[in-house]
Amino acid sequence: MNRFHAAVSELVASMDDGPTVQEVHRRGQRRQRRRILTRVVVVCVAAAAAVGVAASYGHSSAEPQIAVSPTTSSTTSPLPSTTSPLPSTTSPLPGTGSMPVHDSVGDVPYPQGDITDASFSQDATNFSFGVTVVQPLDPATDPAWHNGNAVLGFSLDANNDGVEDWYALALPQGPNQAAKVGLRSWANPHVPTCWGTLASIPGAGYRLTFPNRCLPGGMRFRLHAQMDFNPKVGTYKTATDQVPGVNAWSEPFTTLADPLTT
Amino acid sequence: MAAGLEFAQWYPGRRRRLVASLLVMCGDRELAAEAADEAFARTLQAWNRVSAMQSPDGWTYRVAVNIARRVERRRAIERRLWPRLVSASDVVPAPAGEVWDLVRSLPTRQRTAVVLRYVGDLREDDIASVMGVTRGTVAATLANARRALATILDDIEVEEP
Repeated sequence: MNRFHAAVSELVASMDDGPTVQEVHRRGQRRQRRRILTRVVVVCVAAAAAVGVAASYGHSSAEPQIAVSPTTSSTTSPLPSTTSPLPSTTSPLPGTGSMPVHDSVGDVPYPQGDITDASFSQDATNFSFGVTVVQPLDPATDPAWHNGNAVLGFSLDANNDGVEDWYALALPQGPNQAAKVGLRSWANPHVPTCWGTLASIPGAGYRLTFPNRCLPGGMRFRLHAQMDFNPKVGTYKTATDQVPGVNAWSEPFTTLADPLTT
Repeated sequence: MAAGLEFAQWYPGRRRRLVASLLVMCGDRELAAEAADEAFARTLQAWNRVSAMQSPDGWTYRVAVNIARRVERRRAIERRLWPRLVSASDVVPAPAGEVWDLVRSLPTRQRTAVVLRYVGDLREDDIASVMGVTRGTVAATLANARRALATILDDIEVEEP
């Protein structure tokens, strides 16, 4: 046996056997439960939105209708939410998918990094990725943000293969510096990073906004939001909240087919 | 694949090679183990379908490599956008040793093919499936990789495809 094969044998032998079959099974069950919960939430929210659309168009039913906006608060949502969704600086246009993806409260230890909703919205000039969190902070002043212990990112899967094709990320640069917000294409790495802005929504969460030229018009994609947070600066016990779940994706959104690109 | 094969029969021992393969590819023990465990969980969930495939290994490796690649991509952009995130421990690749340094020096495609063939012990068909290329491309890539390694490690045999 030569050196190469000896090194391979040594490496493989140094690995442990890992989880038992039962533990693999339990992990799969947990994953399945998360997926089912996500689907239930999406279906319920879609149903609520459909009721709202019908009501807003003056549905001629004999029964009274309750108008429910897809981005309205937990009082009209079928599932509880501790925070209201992000207020919008500009009204999303119809069909651009401002439907929030809900995430359970308390699935990470730090409320500052506990995402409750993630959403995409677009108007004639910009599009935004937003999250609401249980206890939002101000990235401009909070030490965790200044020191890189808070990182917010969104992955986009544009071809439904479960691998991100685009990535938007907010990384604050330190005290008195604006956060650096970038959007990159993995499908075409030669496309330069598109730069955007981070907005803090007091009492709600955060939003990354980019000009419409940063994404192709009419692009259908699934969304995955992730926030890393660690309140103890200088340590590495970061908690990560992923929405709708680990390696899970939202129902599809679609960018406007022909937005302004200025 | 033999009909009626149970996951419990197929799984034991396979994790070692999968984690080792991912470790050589990404250099991060924690990520390699996490991606492998997630891939096995998905394999078990889809076992009725996966066990009917000619080789469940190819499917499992593809899932694991995709998971690891996704995390690596995210880390790469984090490092690029904010270099201060990189700590000393982030840049020490594993496993250590001259042989693995040489493997890591190969172009990405050659390195992936070598790892899947010799560490993962996958057949060329499965490697083609994992890498999303044809079997002929795998054979040619492996031949080039073996030549590249043999010029440095004179005890590696150069096999023609």
